Amino acid sequence: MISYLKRALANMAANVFLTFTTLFTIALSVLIAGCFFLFFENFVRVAHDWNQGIRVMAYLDSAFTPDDLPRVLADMENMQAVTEIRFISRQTALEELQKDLESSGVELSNLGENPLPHALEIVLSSSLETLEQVDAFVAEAEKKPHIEEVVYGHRWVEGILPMLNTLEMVALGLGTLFVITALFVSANTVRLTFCAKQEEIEIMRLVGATEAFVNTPFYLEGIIQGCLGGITGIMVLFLLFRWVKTAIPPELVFLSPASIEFLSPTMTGGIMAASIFLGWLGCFISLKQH
Amino acid sequence: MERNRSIIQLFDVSKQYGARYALKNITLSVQTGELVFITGPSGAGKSTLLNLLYMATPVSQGQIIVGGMNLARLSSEKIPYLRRRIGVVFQDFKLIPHRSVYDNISLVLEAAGQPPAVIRKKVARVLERTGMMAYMGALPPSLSGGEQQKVAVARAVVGDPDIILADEPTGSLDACSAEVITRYLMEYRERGTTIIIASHNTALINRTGFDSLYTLDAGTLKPRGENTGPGMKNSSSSTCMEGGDILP
Repeated sequence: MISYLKRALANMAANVFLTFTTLFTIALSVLIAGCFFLFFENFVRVAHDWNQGIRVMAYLDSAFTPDDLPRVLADMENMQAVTEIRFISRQTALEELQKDLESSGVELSNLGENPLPHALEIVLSSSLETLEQVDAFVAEAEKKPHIEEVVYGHRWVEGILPMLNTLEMVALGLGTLFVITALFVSANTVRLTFCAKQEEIEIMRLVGATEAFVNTPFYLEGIIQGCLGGITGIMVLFLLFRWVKTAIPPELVFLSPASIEFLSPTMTGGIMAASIFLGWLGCFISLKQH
Repeated sequence: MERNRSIIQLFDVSKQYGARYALKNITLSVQTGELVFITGPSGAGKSTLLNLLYMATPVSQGQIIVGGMNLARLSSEKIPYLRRRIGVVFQDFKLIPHRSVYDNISLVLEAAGQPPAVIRKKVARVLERTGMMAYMGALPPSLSGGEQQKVAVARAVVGDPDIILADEPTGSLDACSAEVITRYLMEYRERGTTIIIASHNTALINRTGFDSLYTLDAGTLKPRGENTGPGMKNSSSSTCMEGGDILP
């Protein structure tokens, strides 16, 4: 195997231009596919976070007393799609509001009597994927005792929820096309590279070389090129990612730098494996054709 | 090696390219250690006949037996083992352009799984005998046609084959180099190696001598002569040294 490896490396050194062309094409394909997966992974995560964040506020009526809380909580917990409930007393609500308004200089201590009602903050399950489902929940919750009004400030969810689903589908379709194109271009480049070596392969066969002797170094060469191309592509992608991440302004609420991450180890491993497979596949097709 | 025993036999062999016959109904037997010349005009089928013997091209009709192997029944996995018993000097040399002279020759031994020490020794020997030692690191495109032909001959003989097939082996060589190479090939004949040379160089045939001489004409084989004696072996008219230098 060492002699095969030596021959593979000697072949690469002897055909510097072809080797670099193949490496460049694989690296570019990895970069394109990696960009897509980077976007897709982050998009799915952010969308998931948004979806997880649908909260509704149930304001309790004036007849509610703290003694009623266990029954009210039990009523709400029995409803489907409720994953978390937090009771916010009038006093806590006022304190939180005062904290939120601190930076704008508004002073609530002058209000006299606390005008805020007791409330329940309810986190809904991500299984509620449409606005109709959220509305149905609200309507049902408002029928419960001591519940005066249920509101949710996320009206943008109306547009976001179906859009997220559509975007996910479109992104997946486009990404698949990207990956197939990258696969095709890379495998074809490797194939053309090996076609240029047909004369060498023919000569080796004519002087008594077995198929294993002829093919193994070429497969190794394809695998090495795939591996190096993959590493190069992922490294460039990482540098680009770092640059983009630092360029995102912190004011961007929905896309704070902390919320975007580089490819997961699984995805990185998958891209590397695909890259190595590309090198091998191009070689395999080429050798099978001749 | 035992002489007077057929190492190559062709029975009613034909080779067709489309409707055209390149070779037609060839029957031929070559004894072990024989020197056989096949002559004929360009396009007569000399190269095709040699190609059939090492399975560079499949036969269309008939049977070929080489070294006891029936080529029609030889599986593709066994072809390399047949080719290792045959050293071929190709008319167009077939040298790998981006590999050095040394690597082109050592390839034969590497393919046969020879240990590195043996490879170094054998390659050095044939390089020296063909006068190409100084060019061992050179790439084939930087060599003259004659030098490339010497490399092709060195590669053909380095594996000590049972059979040497040479297609116009001195075609690109000057008279002196041709003599060196021919004499070198004759050394293998003396050792019992069977040699088949396709050539239309009558001067070479007359100078070398032969055991059998055939003429191919439009794909048909005609015997022309047998056993003209040792030829070059006892020649006293040689003016060349083994390295290719002219003797004083």
